Amino acid sequence: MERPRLAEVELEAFRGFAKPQRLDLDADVVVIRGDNGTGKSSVADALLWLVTGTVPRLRERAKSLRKADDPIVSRYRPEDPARVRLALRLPDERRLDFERKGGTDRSQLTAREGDTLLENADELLADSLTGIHAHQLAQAVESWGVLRQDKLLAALEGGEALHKRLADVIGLERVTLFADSAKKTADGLVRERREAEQTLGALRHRRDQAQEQLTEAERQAVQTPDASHRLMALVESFASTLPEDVHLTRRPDSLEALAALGRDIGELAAAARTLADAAKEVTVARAASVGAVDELEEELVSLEAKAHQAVRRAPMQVQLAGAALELLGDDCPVCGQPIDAASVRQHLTELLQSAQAEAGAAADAQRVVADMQFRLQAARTAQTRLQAAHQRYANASGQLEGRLTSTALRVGPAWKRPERAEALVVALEQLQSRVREVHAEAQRNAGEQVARLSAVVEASNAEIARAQTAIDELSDRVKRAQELDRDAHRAARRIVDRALQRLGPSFAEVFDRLAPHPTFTELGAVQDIYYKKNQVVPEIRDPQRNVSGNPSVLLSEGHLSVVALSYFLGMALNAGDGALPFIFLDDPLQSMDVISVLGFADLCRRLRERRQLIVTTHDRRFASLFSRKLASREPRSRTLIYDFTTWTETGPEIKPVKEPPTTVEPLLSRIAS
Amino acid sequence: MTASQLAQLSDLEEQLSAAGYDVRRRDLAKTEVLLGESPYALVACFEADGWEKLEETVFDVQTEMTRIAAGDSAGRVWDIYVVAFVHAPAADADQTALREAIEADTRYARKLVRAAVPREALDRALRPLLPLRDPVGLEVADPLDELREELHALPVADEVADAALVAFASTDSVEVS
Repeated sequence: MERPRLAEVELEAFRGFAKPQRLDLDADVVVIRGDNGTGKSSVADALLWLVTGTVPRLRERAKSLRKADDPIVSRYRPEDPARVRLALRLPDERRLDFERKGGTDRSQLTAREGDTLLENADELLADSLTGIHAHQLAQAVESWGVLRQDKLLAALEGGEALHKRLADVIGLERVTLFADSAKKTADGLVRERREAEQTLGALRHRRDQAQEQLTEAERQAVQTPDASHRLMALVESFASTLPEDVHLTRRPDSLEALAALGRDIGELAAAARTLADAAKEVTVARAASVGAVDELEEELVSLEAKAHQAVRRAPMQVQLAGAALELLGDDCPVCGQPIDAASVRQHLTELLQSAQAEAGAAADAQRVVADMQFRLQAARTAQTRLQAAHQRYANASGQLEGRLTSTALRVGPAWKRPERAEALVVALEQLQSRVREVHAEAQRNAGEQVARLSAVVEASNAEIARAQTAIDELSDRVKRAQELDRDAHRAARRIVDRALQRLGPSFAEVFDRLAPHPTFTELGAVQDIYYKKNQVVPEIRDPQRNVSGNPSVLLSEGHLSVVALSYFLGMALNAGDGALPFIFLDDPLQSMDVISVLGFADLCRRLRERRQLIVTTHDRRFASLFSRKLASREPRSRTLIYDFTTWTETGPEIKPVKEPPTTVEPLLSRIAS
Repeated sequence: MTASQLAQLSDLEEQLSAAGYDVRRRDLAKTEVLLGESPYALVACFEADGWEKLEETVFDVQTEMTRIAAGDSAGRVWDIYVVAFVHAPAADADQTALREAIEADTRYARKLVRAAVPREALDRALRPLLPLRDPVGLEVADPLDELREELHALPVADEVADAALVAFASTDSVEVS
């Protein structure tokens, strides 16, 4: 024997087993037949309870019940603890007895070898059954050790559960834990950042409150008799230094009012500066004036007329005198009468000289006109500039007046003359400077509360800066953690995908033997991430028509049972270090048709070579089939068949069924002959 | 698919022999039959070119097998399998129904009808008769090492992944600094 074997189980005061009952299990196949309610499922429960200390479905049922309603303890022996003993035969033929006593909430496991009590029973049991630790044993037993009838289809329902079972098979607990932990870390950091942001918001709120309190405290501080008195003294001192013809219409009575006066004087100084600049422009424009424009215009008209006459007359006389001199002879060129040519020539020569003199005078007149036109243009420009400067001055003056009416400062008319504008600017700037000094001194007198609040505001600002820096750093961590979370799940998914590719044939190994669906002939599993949870979802395929889907929504109950068995056994056969030496299938044939049952019987013939098989069924026909199909065919194999015929208050009536012949004669040679 | 690509009796013979069966060829009910025997099975395989008279041939072979098994040991009658390898695929609903009807008749023997099975699919076609395959060894030797390799192939920074893995190895929780 290469693997440990469940040799015997004894139940007492457990569920429906009131009196002690022993069941020999020392075979490679055990078939238990029994009608519903005869106690066959209690054997599965007993095995689960002994190994894991709990029966999850019973624990669930008992959650809302009184403690007196303990589902583990027999109702016919309520005073006694439930007791289950399991004898384990090891490969070296040693026999260990494990016994659990107690109830749903409390129980204790003990181990013995003969009469010797052994220590650390839980680890010893895990170590004897498989290569895993005690804390992993419950998961292994539930995943691929005991398939209860109520859990058959559950093997397909929970994608996450299937992923977990697969992860258990391939040893991916650490990978899954890492991915889950990465998610927790990322979520934790996001929460931490959210809290830090809330803290920052609270800090800002506190700072704003402190700022408001500071302002109020400053206002109130100057209103205290002592502070108020000192402020008034300062203001009076300031008022007494005002220049002549400058006075205040009201005295500032608080630091705020004093600050407001300072701001008003600053604005007045700016307005006065504009006025002073405009006054300078007026002076400059006035100096640039070169005479009255209208007088210059009259003089120009007169000069232009004279020049016009001179220009018009002079050229004609010069031409006529010149032409007459050229035509002059002894006779008159007009009437032909003899003339005194010398006398006429002298006259014409004199006339020509006079006309030439007049032409020179006309040119001089034209130059005088051009000069006058230039002077007139310059005068007009200067006049425009002067008018613009006057306009700006008027505007600036209006603005100054406007500001003066809205402030507590009054300035006499003498200050408003253009020539005093610059002096007004200087005076106002000095006043502003003085107000600043007075305000600073008044602030110094404002008191400890103001100082404290100022410190609070300052500290809050520093704290806000630190918090903001911390949030920035936290945001970077959140980004890294979220990347890690995302990629850890992707990595786990890739690892599981590879495992699924390797495991797929194992599902098919079982599925093909159970006479699958006529069209959906291939079974596999695909991975899916749903709400950031890695899940493994069963998938059936019709390879001819290239159609696939989830069996839970495509198949009948009978075919679903086939698929569920294929998953359970496919994983059980590949469980590696976590493999258990037995498989307990509690009524797995419900809803299956006869072909699938035959396929299952044939499969069990092969399974018995790998695992000790315990199968229960309520169906007499199937039990009969199993008794024949699973009868021993080899000398070293053994099949045990029990019939739970009825149940009474003491427990089930159990009858061993006679085992069919254990050896067969080879027939091939006979057929051949 | 050509006839030469389909599984022949010689392929079946080889497959069953490799699976531990004692195999021989004999004529049964006027049909050449490949017989295979193991402690848990007595198998009769035959070939058919088409679907005509398939049901009769299956019945005849099964009857002959039952007669032989019943004559010697009562237990052996539960171990009979008749496997028909039809070279032509099921071309219509009638042939599909015929196949299902033959397989659904579970009296005296379990019957399997396999149509147009290519050589490479023979293992699957005979699976109910073959031993379980060896476990595939899914376990990961060092899950965190494999995880590290996967993470390095993904966008997350290597130093972030490495630091998280180191922390996880000692504290079971992931830290990101």
